[in-house]
Amino acid sequence: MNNINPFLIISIILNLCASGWYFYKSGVVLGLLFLGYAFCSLISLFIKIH
Amino acid sequence: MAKVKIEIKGIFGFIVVVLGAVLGALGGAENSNKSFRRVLIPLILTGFAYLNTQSILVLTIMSMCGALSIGYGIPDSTDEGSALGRFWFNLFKKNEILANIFTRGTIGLLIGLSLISVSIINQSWLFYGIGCIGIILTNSLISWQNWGQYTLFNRKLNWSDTVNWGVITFFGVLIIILK
Repeated sequence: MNNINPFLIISIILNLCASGWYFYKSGVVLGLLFLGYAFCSLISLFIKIH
Repeated sequence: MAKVKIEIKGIFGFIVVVLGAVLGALGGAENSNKSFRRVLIPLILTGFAYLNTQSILVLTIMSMCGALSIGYGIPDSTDEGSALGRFWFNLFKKNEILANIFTRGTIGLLIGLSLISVSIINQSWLFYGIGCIGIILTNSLISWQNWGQYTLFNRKLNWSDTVNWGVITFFGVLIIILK
């Protein structure tokens, strides 16, 4: 876990914030979209680039 | 040297994303030719994939032309819609939002499938999976939104088309570059 990419951490946080914002504003569609992007960033954390 | 190579790939990738966004929006504008989107985006992605993999197998990316030519219209009072649109519209008992999401999601899935040859060459299945999820999410949740218009090349282009195709080509570039 030493090689965690900081850009991915930022991406997860920003996407989760955007998702929360849209859900709060009852924009369910865009809330789901950013939640999905956050999921993609989260999974990318566990992939090693060759 | 390897770092320089990755940076060059990144710069080329960025150019591909910008081109994808503009061409995607041009293809969706009024009085415009849909071939901008249907032919040029797959062609650019195929060229970019060939530069990265040096394999002629990536020609299968051109099958994206088929996915982009299917048609995504949802039936309404003025238009009978596309076959795919009618299928989802009737399946969801005339719920327009769900029909839009699933019709465009199906097309997103086909766009993702057209990029599968890159993953067979790179053996990068996790990145492929993430890229496909991103493409499907983007096409199903952004492409049908109404975010207003702007003028470029004397044509009125949609913001949602620009963002949609920019993000789709971004995920395509990720699938091609990362291994």
